[in-house]
Amino acid sequence: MKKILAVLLALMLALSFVSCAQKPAESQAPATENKNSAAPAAEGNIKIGLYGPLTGPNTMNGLAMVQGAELAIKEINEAGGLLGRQLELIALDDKSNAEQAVKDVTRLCEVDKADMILASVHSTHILASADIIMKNKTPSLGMGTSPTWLQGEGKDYLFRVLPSNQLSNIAIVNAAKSVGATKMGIIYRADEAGTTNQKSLTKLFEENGLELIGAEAFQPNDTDMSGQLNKLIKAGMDGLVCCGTTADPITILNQLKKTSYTGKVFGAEIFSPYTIKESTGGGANGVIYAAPYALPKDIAQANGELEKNFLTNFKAHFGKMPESDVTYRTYDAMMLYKNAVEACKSVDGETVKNALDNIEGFEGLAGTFNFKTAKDQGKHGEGILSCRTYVIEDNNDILIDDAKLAEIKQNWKK
Amino acid sequence: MDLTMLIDALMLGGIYSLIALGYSLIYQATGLMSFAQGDLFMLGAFLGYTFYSLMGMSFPIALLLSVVAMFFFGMLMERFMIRKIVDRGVNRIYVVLSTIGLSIILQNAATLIWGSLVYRMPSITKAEFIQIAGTKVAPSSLIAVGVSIVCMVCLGLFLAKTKLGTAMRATAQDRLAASSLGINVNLSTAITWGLATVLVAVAGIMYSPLIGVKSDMGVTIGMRGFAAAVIGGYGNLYGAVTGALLLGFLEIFVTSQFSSVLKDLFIFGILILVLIVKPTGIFNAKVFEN
Repeated sequence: MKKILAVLLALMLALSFVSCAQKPAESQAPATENKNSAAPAAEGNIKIGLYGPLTGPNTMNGLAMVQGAELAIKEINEAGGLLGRQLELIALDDKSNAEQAVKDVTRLCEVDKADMILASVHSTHILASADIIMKNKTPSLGMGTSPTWLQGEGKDYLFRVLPSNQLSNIAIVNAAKSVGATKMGIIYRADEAGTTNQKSLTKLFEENGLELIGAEAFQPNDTDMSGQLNKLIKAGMDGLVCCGTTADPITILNQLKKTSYTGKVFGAEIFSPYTIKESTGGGANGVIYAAPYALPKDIAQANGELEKNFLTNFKAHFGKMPESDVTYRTYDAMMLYKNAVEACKSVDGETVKNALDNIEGFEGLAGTFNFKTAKDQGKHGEGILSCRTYVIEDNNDILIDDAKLAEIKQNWKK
Repeated sequence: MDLTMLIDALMLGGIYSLIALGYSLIYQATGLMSFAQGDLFMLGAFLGYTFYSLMGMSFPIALLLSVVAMFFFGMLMERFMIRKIVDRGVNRIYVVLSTIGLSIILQNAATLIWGSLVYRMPSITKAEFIQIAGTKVAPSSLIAVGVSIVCMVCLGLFLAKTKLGTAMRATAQDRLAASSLGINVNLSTAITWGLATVLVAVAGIMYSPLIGVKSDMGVTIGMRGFAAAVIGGYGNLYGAVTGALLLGFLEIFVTSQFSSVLKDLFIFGILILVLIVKPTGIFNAKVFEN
């Protein structure tokens, strides 16, 4: 018995020495060597990492991220994959927590060896994990709207798949001026995106001769906003801009309905889901919002063939229409990645990053992506350079132009 | 403070009162604490939404069915979770931990069953708003205030005037003595949990036409209800109502005069201050051991 134990012990020791001896060899690999350039990796699946709020307060957006990615991956795989390889999704939950997001990105880059990462809807999370993305040279397409995570140095591997909120804000301010709103109020979520939005809007109001009569914040889990709304109404507001996430407009509009407010409501992509119109019982009618897309209730209401195909495939796969615009974002991100990989014929991080930077005139759901033009203008990573504007009428989203804005102005009884 | 703000403050105070009463009732009767109240508030709202909005029942029927379902849910929670832990003779902190676990399960279960969207609970009345003294007021707010008052009065009468209420109070004071007098202590405790669950569920149903229904709607409101119970005097039912009304007015006042960002700072700042300076709360609740 003792002999057997001794042999087993010796074997275990020998094995541990072998494994220890191998580790330094791995760690001595040059830092610049890319995992994807190695021959064995090319035989496996292309790994698409995703991190977002899959549980917790923003579950809706996290699940929408996964749905968009799943659909795009299914379509790409069914068409033969990329460079003859299938795509595989690794989705991690950041629980709407920046610290968890950093852990997720570290795992995706360093353990799972993801070839590309679909980054969270939370701008702060993208910003927090930017260094890890840069260190690992993993292209990352982000869903957050705040301009901050693409500003400054060290953001070469980050790309945005929708207009930044700076662009939406310009469209909102233009619309407010066009319909004749003069005294503006802002109600915003007290987080990074909400605060940058509020600051950007304040500056734009000043530049465009609109008076800011108040900016009121609300906490992410706030259920009562009547105090903030009544304060702004009392100050004489005739134009209210709502900044938050998709869940917020319902609470704001439902509580606005019980006030004496007769002014206009403005916002960005948070008003685009059709569920907002249903969940406010007509309270969303008259809202003017700037967004790359409006989520229709029926496929027939799709804006063009591209969206029609997307919605048809989405409904066939999930049995329902998309409930959040975040689904559009990840779908666009996947198609941009496909375009870049096919253009450079590689999944090497640096090569794909350069290919993404060279994308010009790519038609996505959010509009035409022009990363090259943006880079030439010193706006690396910003693919979309303009924003559409919609008005909600009879619970439908109507794309608006100058004539429509003039009509709204004429019909508005302050 | 104008009429709109007054009604908003009363409505918030009423909603917080029901939640705070739930906390205090459980503590008074069993000496235990539950941190699942916020998510039971959410569950009540979802049940009300299902019966009223999805199944098209009349509001009183939807409210009644939700109340009955939540009462039994509260009793079952006590029977199959709380009592099991208490019977093991472990420290009471384990009961608190189990309720935290339950709250997470409830949130995730709600997301699985109803989804992660915000759902609209239609107005309780046909008119979305009415005019009172030239001010636009939502009837749902007034009804919420009225229902909160009715619930509080009914609870007070039930505890003071009925045999079952007396049994519950006796159980709360001395379980052994109550048991020796022939009171079914287990049933009495289960009813307490059932009633506490009903109170928060009613709050959730009454408040949801104004804020919508979503799986995380009870997180902050549950904590504010807890703060109200502590400020009033933890375990004292009158204190719970007083603390809740105070918080309702404070919240509206801070938001209108300063900034809404400061309201939680004020509420939870006062909570800490009360715990340090006067842990017995406004109504001098019995909080000191021995």
